[in-house]
Amino acid sequence: MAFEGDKLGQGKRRIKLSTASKIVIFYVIIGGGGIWFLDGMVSWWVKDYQQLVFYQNYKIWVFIGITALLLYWLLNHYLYQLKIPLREVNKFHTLIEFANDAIFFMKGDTFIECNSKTLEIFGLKDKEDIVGKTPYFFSPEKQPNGRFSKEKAREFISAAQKGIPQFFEWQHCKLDGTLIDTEVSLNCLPLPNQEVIIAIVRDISERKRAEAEIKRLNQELEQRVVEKTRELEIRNRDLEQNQQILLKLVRELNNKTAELQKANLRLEELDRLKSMFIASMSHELRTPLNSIIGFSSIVLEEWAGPLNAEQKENLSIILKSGKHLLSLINEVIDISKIEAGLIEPEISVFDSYDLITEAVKSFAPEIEKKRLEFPVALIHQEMHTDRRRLLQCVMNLLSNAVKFTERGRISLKANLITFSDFGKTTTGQVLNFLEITVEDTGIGIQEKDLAKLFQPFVRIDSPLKSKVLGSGLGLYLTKKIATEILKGGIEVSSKPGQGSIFTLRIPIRI
Amino acid sequence: MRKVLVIEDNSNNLRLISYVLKRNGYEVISAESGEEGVELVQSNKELPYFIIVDINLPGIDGLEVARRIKKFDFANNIPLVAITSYAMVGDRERILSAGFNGYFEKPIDPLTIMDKIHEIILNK
Repeated sequence: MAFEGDKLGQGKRRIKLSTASKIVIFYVIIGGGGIWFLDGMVSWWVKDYQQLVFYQNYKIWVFIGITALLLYWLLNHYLYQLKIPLREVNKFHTLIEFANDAIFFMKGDTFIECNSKTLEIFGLKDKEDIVGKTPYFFSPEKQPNGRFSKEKAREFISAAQKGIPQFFEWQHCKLDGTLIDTEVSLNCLPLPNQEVIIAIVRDISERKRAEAEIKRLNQELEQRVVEKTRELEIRNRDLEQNQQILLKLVRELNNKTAELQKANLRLEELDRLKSMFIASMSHELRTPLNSIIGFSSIVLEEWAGPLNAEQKENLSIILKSGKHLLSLINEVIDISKIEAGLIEPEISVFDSYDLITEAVKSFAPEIEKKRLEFPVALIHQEMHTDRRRLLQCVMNLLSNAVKFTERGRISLKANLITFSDFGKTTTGQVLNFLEITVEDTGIGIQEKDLAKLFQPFVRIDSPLKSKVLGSGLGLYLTKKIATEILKGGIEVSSKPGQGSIFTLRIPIRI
Repeated sequence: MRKVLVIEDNSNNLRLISYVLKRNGYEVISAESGEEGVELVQSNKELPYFIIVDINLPGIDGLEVARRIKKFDFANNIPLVAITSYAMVGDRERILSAGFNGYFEKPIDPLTIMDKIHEIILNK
């Protein structure tokens, strides 16, 4: 069903004249013809007047009946056809009327019909207000992109008219001057004269606003990103600087390590040389001494023949000197070894009683010769330590006591003490010590000399100094051994002219 | 008379130890080097009662001498005694593991050394 209209009405439809005329003409012919035929038939068949009137009346009713049927059939058939489009027309009418977008028709660039939303979008009251207007009438002079609205609009319209559907954004202007952003779609109607265009205009102001907001947020975000990037760059630079510093430190460290390694190698070399020195000294010095001590002993024992007293005396001096020299050498080598850290305790299990008895036995003759008293108080204590070294210390203390005591006595005492006498260790362990005390009634040591007592190569001035053989190493060595090898300690107290007390304290187990 | 082989390169030391041994009724055979000593044993002419070896020798040292002698089946039972100058830590093990029965240190005391030597050789 095509339609044409110059006037915008309420949707009145007029059936094309040709079809209507066709129906009427058809009716007239059939109806007229029927009646003429019937008239003819009646006038031929019926002669009686009363019968004629009857048949004439009857004919009217027949006629009415037939036309009624015709009319019914006609109306039903066409109206049905009418009804559908009418219903559809109403439906579509409602659809368009109540659509949320502006939908309108243009002939060329002029509005011809529109829906309610169109009025709303352009800010109009009646549909009359739009008739004859153009879309660019409701637009600002220039579009946001700078083009003149009139020009551009006409471009779009002609393009649409050519059959190409147009879809674009457009800035409209309401009657009151407000600008609104819209989305426009144009399509032409498939008519022989394609001047009519369907236009749908959607208000996208909200969307535009949202887009602008998003853009703004994006910009803000970008700004923040730029800032953060800048921050990061700064931090990176700092980090790099720190890295550089670190690298430098590492390089320095490596240098130092290399230096240390070199120093270590030198130290190792020195250690090695020290050991070699000690070993060779040991050997070289002892070899001649072997002869001195050995042969003077042999001759003194008269293995090579009898001797007179004088010869014996002279020889014994040689022998004593040799032995003295040997003890000096031993001391020096011992100290060298301890200083070089070459000495390690040789641990064995022994009874303190046996050890001290051994020392006592070796000095007993000499003490007796000097007519000194020699009280000894010993204990039996199982020891786990270096026996030889402990003996060395005890012997040294006894030797000193004998050397520096002319009269009176030398007393030797041994007893067990526990560390709790001094206080517990950090681990709460209770350590046991063997305490050996050598007390003499000798010449004693001056207060000022006590500090020098354990120093190497220092011999305290005393009236006996020249009489007594000494190297100045005895106590130094004893202290070294007591502390470093036996892990104990040594103490001294003295009264000049009255005597001295040397106390040796050694852990029973190291 | 029982023979004792002394392998010692120092003539003084040799003289000294010989004094002691002779005094105690031993006959002394000597060698100036380790190789000479080993050869004397190997020649098998007269096996000594025991052998005294100085550790410090020119050429092969006393330890090597002991090892070689120990390889001879016929000489396996001869006691070996070493002379050292001041044993260092670990020397004892080395000396014993080379095959010596024991050792004594220089300088020796001629009056007591024989007892020491007897102790070593009889303490097999």
